[in-house]
Amino acid sequence: MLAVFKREFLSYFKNPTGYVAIALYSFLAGYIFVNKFAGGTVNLSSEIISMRSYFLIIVPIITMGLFAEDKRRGTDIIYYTSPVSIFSVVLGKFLAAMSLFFIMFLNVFAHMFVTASYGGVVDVGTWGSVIVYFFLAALFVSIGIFASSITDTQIISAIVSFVILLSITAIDRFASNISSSLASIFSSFGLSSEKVNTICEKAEKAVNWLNPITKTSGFRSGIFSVAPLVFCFSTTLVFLFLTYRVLEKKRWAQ
Amino acid sequence: MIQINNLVKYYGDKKAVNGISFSVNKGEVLGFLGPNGAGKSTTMNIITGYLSSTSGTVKVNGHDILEEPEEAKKCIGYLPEIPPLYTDMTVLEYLRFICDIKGVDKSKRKEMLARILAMVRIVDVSDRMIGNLSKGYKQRVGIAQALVGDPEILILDEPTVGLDPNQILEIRKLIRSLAKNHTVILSSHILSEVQAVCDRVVIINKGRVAAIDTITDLAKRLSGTSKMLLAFKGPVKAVCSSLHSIPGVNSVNTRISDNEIHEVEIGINNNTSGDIRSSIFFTMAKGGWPILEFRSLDPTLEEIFLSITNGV
Amino acid sequence: MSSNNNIAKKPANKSAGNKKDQTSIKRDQRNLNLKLFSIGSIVLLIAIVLVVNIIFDSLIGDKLTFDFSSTGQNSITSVSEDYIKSLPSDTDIRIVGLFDEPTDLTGSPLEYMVPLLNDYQAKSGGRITVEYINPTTHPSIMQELDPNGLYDLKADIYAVEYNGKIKTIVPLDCFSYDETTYYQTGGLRPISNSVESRFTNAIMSLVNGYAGKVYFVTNLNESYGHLMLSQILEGIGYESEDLPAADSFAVPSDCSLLVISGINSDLSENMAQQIITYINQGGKVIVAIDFMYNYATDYTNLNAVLEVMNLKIDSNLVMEQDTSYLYNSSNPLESKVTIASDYTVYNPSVTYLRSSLNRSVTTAGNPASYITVAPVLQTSDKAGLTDISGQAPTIISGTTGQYNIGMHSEFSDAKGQEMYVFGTLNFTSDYYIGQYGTTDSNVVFIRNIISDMLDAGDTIIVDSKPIADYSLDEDKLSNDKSTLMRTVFMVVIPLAMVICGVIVYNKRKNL
Repeated sequence: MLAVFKREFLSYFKNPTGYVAIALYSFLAGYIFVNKFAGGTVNLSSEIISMRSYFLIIVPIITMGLFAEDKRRGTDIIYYTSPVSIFSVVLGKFLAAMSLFFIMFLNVFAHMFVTASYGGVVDVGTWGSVIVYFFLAALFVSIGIFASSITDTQIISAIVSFVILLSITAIDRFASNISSSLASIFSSFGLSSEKVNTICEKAEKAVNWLNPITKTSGFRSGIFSVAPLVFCFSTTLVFLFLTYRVLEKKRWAQ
Repeated sequence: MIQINNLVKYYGDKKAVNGISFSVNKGEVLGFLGPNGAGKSTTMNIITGYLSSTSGTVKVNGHDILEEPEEAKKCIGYLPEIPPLYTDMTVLEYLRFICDIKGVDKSKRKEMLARILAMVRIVDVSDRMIGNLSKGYKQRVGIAQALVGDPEILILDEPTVGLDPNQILEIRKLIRSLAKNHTVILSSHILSEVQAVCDRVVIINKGRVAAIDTITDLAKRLSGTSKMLLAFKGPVKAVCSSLHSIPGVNSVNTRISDNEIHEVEIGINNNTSGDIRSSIFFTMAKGGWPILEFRSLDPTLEEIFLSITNGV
Repeated sequence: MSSNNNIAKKPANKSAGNKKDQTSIKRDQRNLNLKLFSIGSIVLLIAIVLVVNIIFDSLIGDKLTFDFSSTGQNSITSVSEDYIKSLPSDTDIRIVGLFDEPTDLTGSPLEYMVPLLNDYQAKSGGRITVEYINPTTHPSIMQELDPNGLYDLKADIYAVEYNGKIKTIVPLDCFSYDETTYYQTGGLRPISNSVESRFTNAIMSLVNGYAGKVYFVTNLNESYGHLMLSQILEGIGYESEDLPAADSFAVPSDCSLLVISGINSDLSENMAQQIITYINQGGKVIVAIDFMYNYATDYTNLNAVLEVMNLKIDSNLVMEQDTSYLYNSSNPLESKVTIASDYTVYNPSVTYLRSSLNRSVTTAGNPASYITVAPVLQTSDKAGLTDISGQAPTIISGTTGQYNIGMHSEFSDAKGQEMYVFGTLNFTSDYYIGQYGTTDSNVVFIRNIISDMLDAGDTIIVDSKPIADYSLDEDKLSNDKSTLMRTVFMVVIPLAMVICGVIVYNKRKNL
């Protein structure tokens, strides 16, 4: 695991990828921060939570090559023919991506430092958002890795993970669409409208239950809740495990 | 060392490997010979655990590759057909990574890498990017990669393909030197290469084992007949019948027939006494038919299989 | 990989033989087992994850939710929690938001309400349920909550229901707003958050009913309203009602306390008489008059009322001369007033309060032995009465001395007549309380005085919460600084990274 981690992590900095990702993140995060800074009020929790939308761009960049590129180059054979478990390979690559992400995030620590030195608020709520942000990042990175494991080229991997992440961020809209289309279907059967509305709202809620974005929104205003963290952590595990299973398939696929 | 038992592999509904069984003894260099598409790479990928078989078992050092993959893989160094190289790393970075992933002891690493670099002669390129190396060097880095961790078994898939003759000779020399301390399986589609380095050879064709034999026995089996190619000017029919009449000539087949120039293949029984080549020359000279080309033909693998399977 | 291609290129077997092959493919059972294991483990993991998440979400999630906000805006205080837990466990209070449950709260007042109400529900031990029902899609909710149409239910408000009784709470009313911003731009900038106090008070009044009524004398050109003070009164169990000036003015018999705050014209003679009658029957009165719009007003009739309690409110502006009593040396009209030693009990944590535009309160020469008069708030001994007829206010010579800004008077008889008179509106007006919030020292002081006057028993005082202030230190900010930040974070760091990338790439490319 450590070997894979080391290789992948250093590889980010031996190629332009890592630098580009950091530069991009710095620019985007800086944009939010500087605008607030110039306005005189910096709500760091809100800033950090707002940066969730950047996962859409950043995560495909840092995860697209992790497995797809190995398959293209034929280097995946190293992992299959070495005495290492594929899961530790998955974990190593995941940690490498998370570490790169951490380095990007140093920008936000700088923002926190600047805010504190200018008399702004850096309190326990801010750290709460930092924590949940990392859990979200882990979830999104694991999705990116999964996308990388089911595709053969970097570009397709990037597109797939972008599409998955995009649909996750749009779950709430998707949910309300489901709700309204359900409503119209039911009403065409002449069911009483209030019951229909209840069913639709339940359906909307159920779909939205899967939404990590709404689950973590409360951190913006200082609510630190363990349930969303458990959700992010467990779904991260699911995606890493899926990745592992997809790769391990080679061992038994007949 | 390695027992392969009734290995079958389907790709979809295509049978790539059809019931291959053989075993490799400790310290032996086994040639794995077959034409392109015979199932060599597939078999090797299965032995090393990169692919799974549809049925059949592979045991490496007593460990089943499906049941105890990590134990089995510990014993194997593998050079696949396309060397698995990270082109964005330098040679040394890459080999260090391989050391890490194979769990080589930190204390032994430096000494081992120095030895391997010297052995495959890539010391002078050790700080260069793999992507910038020539094909020959890449192949050597691939071999170096397989050597990391001093595995008991080396499996080399077409190690000389795409190299120039000098490089081929060097690699063969290297493999011979490796054979002293390792059990080696070497695949190739070139008979002479296998003959040059192997103790024993497994010949496969269309997914089946065509023969398993030592090199010397194989040579005997192949020595019964050989072929010559003759290109000449003159009347085909007359020439052919004249050639047929020479004792020791088994067959004459026309290969290319132009208006003036013709090429024929002459099958010769090697057991006949006297030099048939001179008889042929004199026959042609007598007829006044100019010889344009006259050389012996190496048997192609297909012909070997034919000869082996036909039992000639 | 390429062997794969090679195989593919091979001529296919005869189709008949092919079919036969396919049916007779013998597959290694061990591989099938691995496949089953793989699929099974995925299914199992997903099932476990679902179960764990559902457990966390619905069963223990509430207990593992913490309020990390600096203002405590997302959690109820122990005051509310203790009160709710003191209710019988079968109490059923329904809080219904008459709108769809919002998913994104950012930038709306609901940001301060939805999480807090969830906390009510979580900590209520089943006594409180919080729901969101949109009356547009579920019209029956209106009928269900208010079958007789007694209450003013409409969309986008909260209804708190207990035993068929309802209190409505409008989200925007749960905040006090910066008046300056409002007057300048018409915009609402919340400065304090009394959501919890509104809801807890609503629950309390629904469950307990009110202990009494406080009447506010209105319709006399008051400068400011008394919504904030009414909320505070509700917190101690008293309902507020306006008592407008009229010919037929009379103090209702259920009046527990009469408040005359910020009136800018004098009482009529009849009103004064009515109030005196009320006092004589054991009435309690709070009077607060400052020196702002009403400097020309002669409060003859009001002073006649005060005289009953041997108090008088002066018509001059009192200006503080001791600079150590000033908050801002350029504004002598806003100053500190010390709390007289007998009254520090009402707010022991401070020694002085903030007072502005003061009038002095004196005794009225009615030295009846049954009246006890005492100063409550006092200026320094360097204050003086002010002449405002010139360009700038000046101290009238010979008036320098200590003045009382608040005084207290009570009868020693059993009826319990009692009166507080303040020469400032800094204790009663919306303007002040709105600006400084309900946790301000002045507000705490007046609240405790009122509780004491009304002898309110189990009072539940939920402090309003400040709105989180994320502003930076303005002294340290400048345009240059923000340009610097912009350059560093958006140009220097990204550019440095890109340059590093290019250098590394070029260096390694040629290795």
